[in-house]
Parts: sequence; C-alpha cells; structure tokens
Amino acid sequence: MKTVEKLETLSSSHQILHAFNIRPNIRFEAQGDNEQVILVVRAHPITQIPWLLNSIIFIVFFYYLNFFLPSFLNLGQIIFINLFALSTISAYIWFNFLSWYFNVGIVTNQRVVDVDLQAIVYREVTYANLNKIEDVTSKGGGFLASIFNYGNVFIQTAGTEVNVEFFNVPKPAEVSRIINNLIYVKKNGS
Amino acid sequence: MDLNSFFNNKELLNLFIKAFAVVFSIIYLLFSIVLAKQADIMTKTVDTQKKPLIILVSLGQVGLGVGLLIYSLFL
Repeated sequence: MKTVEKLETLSSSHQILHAFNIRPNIRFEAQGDNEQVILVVRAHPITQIPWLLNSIIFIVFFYYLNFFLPSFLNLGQIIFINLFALSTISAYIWFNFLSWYFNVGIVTNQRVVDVDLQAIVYREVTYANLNKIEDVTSKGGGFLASIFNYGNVFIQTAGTEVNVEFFNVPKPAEVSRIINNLIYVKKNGS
Repeated sequence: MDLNSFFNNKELLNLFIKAFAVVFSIIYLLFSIVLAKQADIMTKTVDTQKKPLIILVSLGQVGLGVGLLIYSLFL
C-alpha cells in the first residue's frame, strides 16, 4: 500500500522557520495517550513581513524623534520617552510573534486540531476526528503565495461538526496529502 | 492661564509629564501582564520545547513594565 508506506517513512524535520514540522516534539492539551503528532503547521514566515517592517519603521521613527524633542524636557524625561518607546516596540514585536507562534494547525494520527489565538486574548481550539472529515481542499493563489508556495487548507467535516481551516500554511498540497493519507489509514486500517 | 504661561511654568509642566508617564506605564504594565498570562496558558495548550524561553521573555516584559512604572514615579 503506497500511501501507508509514505506516512511511515515521514521522518522528523523542521522546515521554513518552524512553519512546517513533521513529527515534532510537541504535545497539546487534550492529546490522547496513543495519539501521535504527525504534522504541525504555522503561517508561512513571509506573511509576517508586514509587522516586522512596521517594527523597523517604528524604531527608526523613534530614533529620529529624539532630534525633534522640545527643549523644555529634562534628561530624565527624555530617557523615559526612549525607554517607553523601546518597551512599546518590543511589546508589539512580542505580541505579533506570539500570535504567529500559537496559531497552529496540528495533525495527529487520530484528528486534526486548529489552535487560534486572536489578538492574544481570544483563544479557540477546534478538533476534528479523522473519521469525521469528508473533504480536504488546498488553495493557493497570488504573487507571493505562488513564489513561496503557501496557501490555505480547508478541512470539511461531516454534519454539524465545525470545519477546520489552516491559513497561509507552507506546502498546502503536501498538508492535504498527509491528511488524506491519514484518513485513508484510519478508515481502511494500517 | 494661556498656553504660553503653561509651558513656562516648569513645575506644572513636570507634573503634567509625570502624570502622563505614570498612566502610560500602568497601561503598559497591565498589557504585559495580560500578555504573560496568555503566553502561560498557550504554552499549556501547545506544549513546545521553547516553553521556558517564551515564559522568560514574557516575564521580561512584565519586569520592563515594573521598571518603567518605578522610573516614572521618580521623574
């Protein structure tokens, strides 16, 4: 059976700055005892460029702001303004990094898990059992998505179960292939 | 009091700047605490090898907030 053989030969690897991880050393909250994490995906790092660019612009802006600060400010106040600006930029970077790092799609040998962290304070974890999955679609389009090979993966579940979506993940075709193989193994047995 | 005399009154101006500094430091501290708490929850939801580093940086942000608040009180 070609599909099963391919799954078993998937060796542990971390690719594209930990955005595409095969058999990583990761556990999640509701993981079962016999459940193995096969794949963990995050948004492609190239999609994080806007906030990284913003951070650089903010740093340059605050650096040059020092030359235009009013003369009535004393040294202590100028130091505070600079410290506050640096702290705010570091918080902005950390906030965006956490939003990227904890927005993960996890594929195990039993189910698909979608962990969403929106604006840091809203957390949503969606589970879809492999035997409830009806259709897996990968979509990719656009200039950057074509160059860097990233896109969306839509996982449609049966009945009223919540659908799972992975956005801007690297190698969407590879992700859907792995999920389809796992569904095949789950339904037909190994 | 017109705007010109306000800017010439050093004590009033310093008090005004200090009040702003304290308020912004408190807001920053609250934000960093929320960020650290949420990072702690998320490391339990998705347990990775980078957990100690994530907790450390988050606590560093809280420390920075405390430092800013203390500094702003002595402005």
